[in-house]
Amino acid sequence: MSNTDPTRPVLRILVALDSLPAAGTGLDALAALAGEMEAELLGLFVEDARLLELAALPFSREVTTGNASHRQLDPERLERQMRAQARQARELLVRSAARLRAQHSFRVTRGETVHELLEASRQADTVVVGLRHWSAPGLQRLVTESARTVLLLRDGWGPGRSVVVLYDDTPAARSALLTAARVARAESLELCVLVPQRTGHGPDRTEREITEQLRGHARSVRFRPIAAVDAALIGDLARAEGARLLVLPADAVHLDRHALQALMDRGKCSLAFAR
Amino acid sequence: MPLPEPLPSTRLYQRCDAGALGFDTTAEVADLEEIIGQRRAMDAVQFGVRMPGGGYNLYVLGPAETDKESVVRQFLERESAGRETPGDWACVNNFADPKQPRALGLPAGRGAQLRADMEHLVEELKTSIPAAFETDDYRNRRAEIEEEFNEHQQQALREVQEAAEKEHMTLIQTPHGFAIAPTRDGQVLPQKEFEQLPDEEKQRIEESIGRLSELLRRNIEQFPRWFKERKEREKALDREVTMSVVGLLLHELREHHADLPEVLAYLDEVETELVDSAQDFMASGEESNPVMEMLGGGRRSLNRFSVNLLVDRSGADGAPVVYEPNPSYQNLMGRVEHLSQFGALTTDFSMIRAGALHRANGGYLILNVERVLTQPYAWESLKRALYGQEIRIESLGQMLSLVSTVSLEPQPVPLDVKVVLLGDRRLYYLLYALDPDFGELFKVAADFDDDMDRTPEATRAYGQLIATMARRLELRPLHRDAVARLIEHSARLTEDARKLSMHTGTVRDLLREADHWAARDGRELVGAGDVGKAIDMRIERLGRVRDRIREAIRRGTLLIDTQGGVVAQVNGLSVMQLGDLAFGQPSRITATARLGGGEVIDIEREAKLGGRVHSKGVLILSSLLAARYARDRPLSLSASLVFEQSYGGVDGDSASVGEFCALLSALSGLPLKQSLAITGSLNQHGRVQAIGGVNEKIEGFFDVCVARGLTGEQGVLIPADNVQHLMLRADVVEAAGAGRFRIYPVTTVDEAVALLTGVEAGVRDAAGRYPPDTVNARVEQRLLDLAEKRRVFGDRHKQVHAEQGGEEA
Repeated sequence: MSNTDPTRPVLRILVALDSLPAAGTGLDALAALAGEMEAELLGLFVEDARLLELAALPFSREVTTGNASHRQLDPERLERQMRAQARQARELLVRSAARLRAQHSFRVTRGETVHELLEASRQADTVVVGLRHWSAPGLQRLVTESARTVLLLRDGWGPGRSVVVLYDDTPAARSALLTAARVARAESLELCVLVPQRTGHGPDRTEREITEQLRGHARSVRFRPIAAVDAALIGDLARAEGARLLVLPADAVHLDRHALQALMDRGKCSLAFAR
Repeated sequence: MPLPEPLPSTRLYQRCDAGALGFDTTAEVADLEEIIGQRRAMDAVQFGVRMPGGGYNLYVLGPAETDKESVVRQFLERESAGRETPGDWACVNNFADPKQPRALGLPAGRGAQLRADMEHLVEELKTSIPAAFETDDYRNRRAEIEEEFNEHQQQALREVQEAAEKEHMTLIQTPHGFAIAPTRDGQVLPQKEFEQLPDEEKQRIEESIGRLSELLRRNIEQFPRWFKERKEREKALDREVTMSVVGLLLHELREHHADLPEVLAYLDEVETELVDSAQDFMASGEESNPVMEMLGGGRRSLNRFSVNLLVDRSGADGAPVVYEPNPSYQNLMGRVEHLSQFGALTTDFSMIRAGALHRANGGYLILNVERVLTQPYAWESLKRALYGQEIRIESLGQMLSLVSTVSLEPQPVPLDVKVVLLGDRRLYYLLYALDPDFGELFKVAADFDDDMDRTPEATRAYGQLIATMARRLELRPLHRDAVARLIEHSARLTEDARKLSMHTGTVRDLLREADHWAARDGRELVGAGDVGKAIDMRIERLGRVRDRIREAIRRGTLLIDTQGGVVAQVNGLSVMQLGDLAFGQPSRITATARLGGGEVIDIEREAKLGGRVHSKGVLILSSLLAARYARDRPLSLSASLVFEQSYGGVDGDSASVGEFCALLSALSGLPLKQSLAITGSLNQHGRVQAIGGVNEKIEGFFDVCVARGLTGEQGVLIPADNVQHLMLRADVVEAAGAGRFRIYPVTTVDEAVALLTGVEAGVRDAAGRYPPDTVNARVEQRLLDLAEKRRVFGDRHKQVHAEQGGEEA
């Protein structure tokens, strides 16, 4: 998942721990993958500064999910809760990483979440966030502004039998292909490559090209031509292929909020945007 | 009056004719299949066993040595072979109420099959259920449900987010929910900037947040309902998937047990339980924690699907015959075991254990009544089970209402059993008298005889019995002489030459011991000498006290004369029973007589050393004395009788003839021969009656005489009625045959006193007078003299009294 040398194994995976499910199933899956790839997990817990600012406003209040009741936001309590969450996140990371023999580190920062992640991602090869706990605008901003591969993880990867990857002629296509191949290999999944129909390139030539690039990285690969690079169509195909992970080159589609929503809603799988 | 002649040696011991046994060694003899000598008892056993209906349980009476346990067992085993084999009993979980486990009755052998089937089912499910939940189909369907739930949530939040954005707000996740925040340029409005806003703007923001928060609250309010729906759908999916696996496997089980409606009903319950138990099969490698389970947490144990086979009759043929050697309450009724885990006691249906009643159900249960009675609550619970015709397993604490903690209450098992109690006669009569339930529940008494008639046929059968015993005990074969010796000893055990002992336990022990001696000497056959050695060694092993007494007599510490004549002193004979050994010993009895008021003082009784039977004997002889010699005048003597040097108590009336003779000697002044000893009880007419232990008594005096040297004058006077009981030791018989020791059978006290004094006893003539110088004449004369003296003494007393002016009362 590196943007510098796509054949180099991933070394550092930045994990946004404030957004992974508390049950840790996603973390377990990630730790397992990290263990397989001999990568290091960089746990990051961001104390959301926006929340603290909001809590300072005189009429700020939250609606609790437990009983749908209003409650005044109290800065001090919020601080305590964040510390507790951070401690819990650290414990989860340590436990998962130890069990699955992945290297790991952990730190806490305070600030605007996307900004902090983008900053931290400079030291990493891949950024991972929990898909369910992020709003579409936040995810969109992270994916579009990140210089690294971004993985939007469903709980425990989610079900599925394959890794689907779009291979187009954008710069990150090769990185996306190899990322998908590595995950497919590590998770023993099928690898399905979506190949857009292009003028001047016969399908055989493109497939040969892909096969050549995957040499030594994938056991088998299946090709599926697509008529256009469209988020909704890609999402539908990923679902049809039973995708556990859909990997796209970061610039393959114009990733506005609606496109991202379409990929999430239709694909129903984890998403990776490779660089 | 002719005096009795000494008995010929042929009458002192009734030999068994080895030649008449019909074999040379027991190896030639077929096993005795029938039970001999216990016709009455075995008829009763047969009746009790075959008599249907409650209450016809048996009490088998008789001494333990009759071997009644093995005899009854042998009979019951034969009887049970022809009876239908009862079924198995299993205990299974009651899924609706685990505190009340269910009892399942199954045909013989099917319990084990059901247990194996259930084990197999659980093992299969341990792999099948996780496999079913690992399929893509299941995971996809599960993910669909989750996705739908997430979509609902996301949609609800998105709606709020979109509405918020329209009002320059944003939705922010908090640690416990969501909040609406005002924004400027996509960033949350800082407090300082907010403070600088005009009041109208602040007002607008506040109202906007209030409105959006309300929308947020309404949408979040849907979450629990969606969550519940999600859980229900997930549960329904899990049930469907589990059912697809369970249904298939249970179908096979139902086919195996299609003929057993109770099992089918149980399998229905298992199915219902299994459908909701998929999670318990997911991590079946991990042990469940009973304490956590008890507290309502943790994975539940798969043990709840097991079958606790209480009674397994696989391979059994016929009804069971169970002997419970330790009939404690729990061993009879069964028990609920507990497991200690982390300081807490836990239990379940799988820790229920069967009792003897469960094992004997449908057949026979043999119990030793004394052990039942001495085990707390065993007797009461046995009666309750027999009355209620069901076995109810309760802890003692529950039964006595001592504990109120929750425990198991297993479903009672219907009971159909014949209980055979083994005990002695005393307990039978005590129970009959004191326990009203006893007669109701144990209507059949089988009274085992101690002996059987020694007929030629019975003797041959007895020989066969000995042969059978030896074979079953895997002992060496016995030569026919050894068998004959054993038969003779058997008669001796009964104290009757015409009987054979049914104390087969004693005979069996003797057989073993004889075999031991034969083995020691390297013989292939057990000979008569080995049997004799076994008998002798047995006596020898127990003979310490006997030898001490003999030594005391030999050294003159215990005064016993064996020659000469002494007035008012006679050798009586008594038997001491010490453990398994009975031996006879002579005792010196003396009498005194003087003027008195007619009383015969029993010093033993006065000193509280005499038993009631002995006192009765003294009263009889006192009465005989008066009736015989003082019919028409007052018996004017005061006599006393004592067992000299006796310190341990005397009972029985076998010394009464001797005592009477001592008294006659005291009155007549005639010395009694100390070379003779005498035993026999007396009636009021002077008839000598039979006593017990005649052989031991004779041998006891014989041994003392031998120690001092046999003179040819020595001997013993025994009741003539006891001659039939004589089975004397070989050396006694030999001495008697050689005329060195004599055994006189006496019928009347006159014969006895004549033999002891050497003077004719005397019979009243037509005028009612005894011939002069006879014993009786001397006694009568002495009593007349005493009466006269008393009269004279009385007259003088009256005269003195009159002279003193007194008034006769």
